[in-house]
Amino acid sequence: MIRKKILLIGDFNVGKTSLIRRYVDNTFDDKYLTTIGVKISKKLVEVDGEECELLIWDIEGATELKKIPLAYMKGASGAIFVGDVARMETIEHIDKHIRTFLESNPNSKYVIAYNKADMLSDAQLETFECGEKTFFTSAKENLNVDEMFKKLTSEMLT
Amino acid sequence: MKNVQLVLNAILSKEMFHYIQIDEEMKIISYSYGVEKYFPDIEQMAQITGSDIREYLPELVGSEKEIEELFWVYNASFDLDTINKNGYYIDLTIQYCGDKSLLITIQDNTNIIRAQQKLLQSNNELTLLQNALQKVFDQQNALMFVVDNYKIKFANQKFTEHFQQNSIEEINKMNFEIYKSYDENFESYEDLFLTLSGKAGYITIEDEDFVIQASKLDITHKLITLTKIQN
Repeated sequence: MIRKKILLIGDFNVGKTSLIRRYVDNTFDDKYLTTIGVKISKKLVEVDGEECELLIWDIEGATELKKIPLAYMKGASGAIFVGDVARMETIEHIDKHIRTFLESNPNSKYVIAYNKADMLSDAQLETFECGEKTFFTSAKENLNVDEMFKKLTSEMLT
Repeated sequence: MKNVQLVLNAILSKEMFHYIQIDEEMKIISYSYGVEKYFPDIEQMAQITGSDIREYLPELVGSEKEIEELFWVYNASFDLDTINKNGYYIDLTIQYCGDKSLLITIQDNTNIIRAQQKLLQSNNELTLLQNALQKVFDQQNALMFVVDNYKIKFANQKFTEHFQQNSIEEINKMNFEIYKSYDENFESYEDLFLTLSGKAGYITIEDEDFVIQASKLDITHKLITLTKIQN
């Protein structure tokens, strides 16, 4: 069976853990509990008739003072960069997270989650610049979570 | 090997350390008593001897190249810290231990990391609150700043823009004694606060006139508001 390592990277309290909980267990909890270190969740998916086990790394939020350890980054096939649409600074930091990740994994695939999209109106969401790798997500309302993981998995396997 | 295992088990008896020994194909050869507590789906570790370690430590997937290097790079080690396994926080260190095998040392730091987690949680919540408050202050039209007796501790965007500084640090480097603009005999913001005594006053700073108000936040901190008087 194929195994793929995926990292969720972003500032603290952007909803990385919630996205994983929604995708893996289909659950959501509003309470904020800071992740420390890393916790791996597994999800078995089938792509084009082939089984693939996703090893999803929920990594402690990066800050200016605390960078993500290089050992966490190594060997990742993909990454999801997460920002909170209600905190613009977390969206602005995504480019930096992407650069750091690609330095260790130049051939890896990635997508971007503009998370907590349920907190803004459609008109407000339209003001964001988005590329084809970007998804407006909400773990709370289960918006685009499966679609985003599916897109990343499909790109990693091609 | 059996003796080594007995010695190791004695050393590891305080349950802060565990080990798993693996071969060149990453298959489990031996392990210390009690290591199963880190693996949620296992009741009997004996069942997994000969299994691929990545089944139980998927954290090693993707790092196979680095792990393989340990067999031929002298004294090298591979470290993976602060992994949440089944509610425990562990640090992994992998080193060559002879007989074409590697020793994975598992250090249990659960108590320390749980304490760190609480601190980090408080710190993150405080940062979120501070950012939210900063946004509220930045939306005000007045120049607002918080002081202790002598220094500015916080200022809103209007304040930093007005005085053409980027940060509190830069403002404090300028030795900005606003209380002296009110009365050059004042020696602290406490003097200014006591004089204003809850009422509005007038102050001229760098040839500009303001209405000044001060309110007490706690024993040492005051919030001072400067509203520009349009001429």
